[in-house]
Amino acid sequence: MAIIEYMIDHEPYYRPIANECDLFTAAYASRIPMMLKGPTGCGKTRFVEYMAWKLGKPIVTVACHEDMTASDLVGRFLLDINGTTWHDGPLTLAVRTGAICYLDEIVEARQDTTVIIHPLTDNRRILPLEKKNELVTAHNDFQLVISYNPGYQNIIKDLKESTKQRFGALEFIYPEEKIEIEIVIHESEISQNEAAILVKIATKLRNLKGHGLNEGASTRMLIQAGRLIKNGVSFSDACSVSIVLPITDDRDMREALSGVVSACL
Amino acid sequence: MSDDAIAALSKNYKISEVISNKAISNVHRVFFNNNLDRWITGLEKIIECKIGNNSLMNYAIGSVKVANSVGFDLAELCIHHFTLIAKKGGPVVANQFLIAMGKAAECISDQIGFKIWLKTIEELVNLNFNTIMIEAVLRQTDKMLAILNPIEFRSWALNGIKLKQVNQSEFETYFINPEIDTLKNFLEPIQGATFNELGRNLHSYLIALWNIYPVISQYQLNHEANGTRRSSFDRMMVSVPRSYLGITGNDAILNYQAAIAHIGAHYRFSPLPLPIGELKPIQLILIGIMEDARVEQLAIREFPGLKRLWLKYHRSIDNDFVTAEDMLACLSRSLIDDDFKSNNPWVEKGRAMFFDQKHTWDNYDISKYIGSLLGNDLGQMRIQINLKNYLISPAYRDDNWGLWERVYEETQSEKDEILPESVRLKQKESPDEHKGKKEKSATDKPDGLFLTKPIELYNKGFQIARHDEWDYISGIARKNWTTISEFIPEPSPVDDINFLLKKYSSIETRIDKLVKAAKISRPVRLRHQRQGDHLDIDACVLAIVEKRAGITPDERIFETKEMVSRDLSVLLLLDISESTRDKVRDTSSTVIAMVRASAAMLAKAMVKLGDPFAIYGFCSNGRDEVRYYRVKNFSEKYSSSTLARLAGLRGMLSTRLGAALRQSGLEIEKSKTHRKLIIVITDGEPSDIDVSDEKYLIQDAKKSIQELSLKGINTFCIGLDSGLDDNLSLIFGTKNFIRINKIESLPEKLAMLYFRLIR
Repeated sequence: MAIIEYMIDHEPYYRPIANECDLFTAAYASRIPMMLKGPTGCGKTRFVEYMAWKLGKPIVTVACHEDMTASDLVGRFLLDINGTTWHDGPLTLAVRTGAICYLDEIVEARQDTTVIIHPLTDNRRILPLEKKNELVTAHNDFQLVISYNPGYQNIIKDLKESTKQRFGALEFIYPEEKIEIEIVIHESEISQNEAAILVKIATKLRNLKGHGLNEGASTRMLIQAGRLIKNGVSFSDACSVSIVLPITDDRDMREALSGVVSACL
Repeated sequence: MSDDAIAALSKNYKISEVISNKAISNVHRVFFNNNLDRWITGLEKIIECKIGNNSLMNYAIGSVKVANSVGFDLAELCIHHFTLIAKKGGPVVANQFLIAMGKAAECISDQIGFKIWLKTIEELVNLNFNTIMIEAVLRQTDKMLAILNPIEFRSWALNGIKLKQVNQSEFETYFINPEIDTLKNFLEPIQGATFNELGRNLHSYLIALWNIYPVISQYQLNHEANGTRRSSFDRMMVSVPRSYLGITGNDAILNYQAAIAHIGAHYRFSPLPLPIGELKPIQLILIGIMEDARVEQLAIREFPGLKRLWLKYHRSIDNDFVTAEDMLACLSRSLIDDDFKSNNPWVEKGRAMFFDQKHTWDNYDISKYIGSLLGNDLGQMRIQINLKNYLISPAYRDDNWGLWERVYEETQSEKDEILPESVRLKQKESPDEHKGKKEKSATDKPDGLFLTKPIELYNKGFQIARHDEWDYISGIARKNWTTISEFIPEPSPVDDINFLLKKYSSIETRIDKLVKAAKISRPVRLRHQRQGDHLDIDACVLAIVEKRAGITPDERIFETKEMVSRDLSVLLLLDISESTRDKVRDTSSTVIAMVRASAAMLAKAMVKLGDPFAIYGFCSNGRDEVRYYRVKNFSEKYSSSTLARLAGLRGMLSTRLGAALRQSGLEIEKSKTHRKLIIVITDGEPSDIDVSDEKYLIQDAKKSIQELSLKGINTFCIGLDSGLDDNLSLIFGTKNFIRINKIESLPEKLAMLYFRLIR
């Protein structure tokens, strides 16, 4: 795929919460690799897309998973009619063309995979392609961004110290009530009142983080609930479908959550 | 006619001599007209039975209580039962019945329940029981009914009757001296959802709504005192009833949620407990009602849905009040329900005042102001409230104790009863601790000296847990029946163990190999292998690509599944009861020496492999003292002191295997390995000094193993042959049990065990 296809055409909706945009811009100016920390569904991915648009750079996103090998990132030889050809992986593509490479949920990848980003993220800014016997020097515009949710993965899955310390970090939390309402209204086009109730429910459920829930209800969940409501689903059904049922498998907990939802209505 | 009748009776039987004036006047206050006639008929029947003058006084007092609590009809029914009981049970029992019926009525205060109680007593009498037993049951009526409700009381009694065929002496003590713990076994939810089922739900609900974290507990005892039918709170703890009478199904969940949401509102909006000062009881009630309404209104502002939830439980009351309670319930409702209008001027006044102050609802003073005012009005209207029996309405509301400083202090002792068991245990322990300190200071020894006398440390256990025990006769688990105390064995010279280890060093290496070979974990997919069950398709493609690209292809193109690592934790549970001092059959070594040696061998093997393991010893001295000796727990490192502690295990006391297994389950459950194994090394079947039924502990141990296997914990037993008959294979199952009489056979038998685990 040509790199041009990774350009973001339209401005993605992003509501800045604090000075994160300025910080990111400054980090990009000196090409400091960035790490975005925060719970799921709080807007990390949206933020990177927004920043890529704002900086006018293409963005290559890779969702990391357990079975991902280094060659899934850097590329491999593949067969074609003329024999074998080298195909760049997403990381190599970004490195060569000066895109922002966004490794989503980096901790999911195996540790031996993650170390290949080490030479890219210090002053060398190089990517060795061992199989191809090539040393790619990063394009001047290239930047690496990773996201990582310290909460839900277990202790075994953590970044190596040597990986962590290469990055600057921005912490994301769920936005404060007023802003979250604004976001929910924008994304799901429901009324101010409805959005306010959804946000209130979420705030209450977030009290339960660490007391039975691994994560509180995310902004993304609220937006999905809002979209259901917009499509004519009743409020309590929408909350049940997109918040209560997905968030926990524990029957007692679900009953408690349903109680909370109905208390807020 | 009635008064005449009494007068006539008085002449004949000198009633004034046997029944005090006060009792007579009480009878007159409660029974009049037709009911008094019925009362007198009852009196005549008692006189006919000729069971002594006391009976008349007892009747006078008892009947008033019965009539007050459950009505006149049942007071009359009591007489019917009385005559039967007097006939079969004799005068002592009959007299005791007259006393007990009053107590029972007060405790039960519900007609159906009281009838069940009467019926049960009649059945006991009909079975021709020993009169001492019946008398004892009746004498302890209030004690038992404080814990059990009538249905539970009945199942307790029926269970006791079954016992008759099994063990006569136990049967008698069961009735004559019932233990509270035994009684608690019969606590079963009568209907609807109970706190036990909903505890977690409620806890989450409270945290989510109000972001507060008090302890929620249920009242331990089912006093039918007023307070316990309602929830209660103080700044640390929320107490809720075990179940709400008459509220069932989904309603019960909602009712509990309503109660918890209400208490949460108190936490958020009510001030810290205030002194009562000069306030009268009626004012306290009304201030409570106003405060309930105020915090609910504030909560509804934040959670509109709560209004729907709460409103459901407010009774619809028409305006013809029968009792003052109705008036208060009507006021409560008018304060939360906008659509509810009352034509009672007092209620309307309260409502108007409350809603006029809408803008100052966030100030507690309005509750106090309006409440005291309405209380005064009620006083002037001469409306009486039976404060003793007043039960706040609707059911989800709490008793408002949490609002008042002084009330809380006064009722501290009552609160003690509802403290969770663990807290009480601590409280119990603390006086002993002080005592210990005093003794120390009395002998004038500095603390440092204590360290030089470690024996004291090793002889002192501390309670760490309580476990249920399975009673196979009644088919129920006796709740919190056994108490586990943890001890630390006194370190001893390890020469003996070392000697044995050296002697059997060849076996040791065999065990090593064996344990090492057993890879017990989840299978892991291994890709990129030289050999395997399937082709690794990615590796194949890569190999072809590399071949074509002129690079030497990698030969590792297979994929296989293997248990690569060991993911097993082992808990060795050693029986160190008195019987382990016996010799192992056909050998010269004692069982305990062999237990120690086998444990040491296994431990050594596991240390080399890095398997998490723990070693505990156990013995028991009755159910209240199950000793659990910690040689090594999972987090400790295996060292020479572990071995010294192992050497310090001495054979003593009895074998309560089930309790020890449950405790071991608790320990090993915490480890995060894929497989969990408890290996019990013992010499015979369980026994204990307080159990005469041989089957009882066997069945309990069997049950505990079933419980463990439900949790995914394997249990395995190595029985050292002491020549006695035992039922170990019955407990563990033939496949999970091996018997050895010489340590040489340990490796091959263990092989069997590991082989089973791998499958």
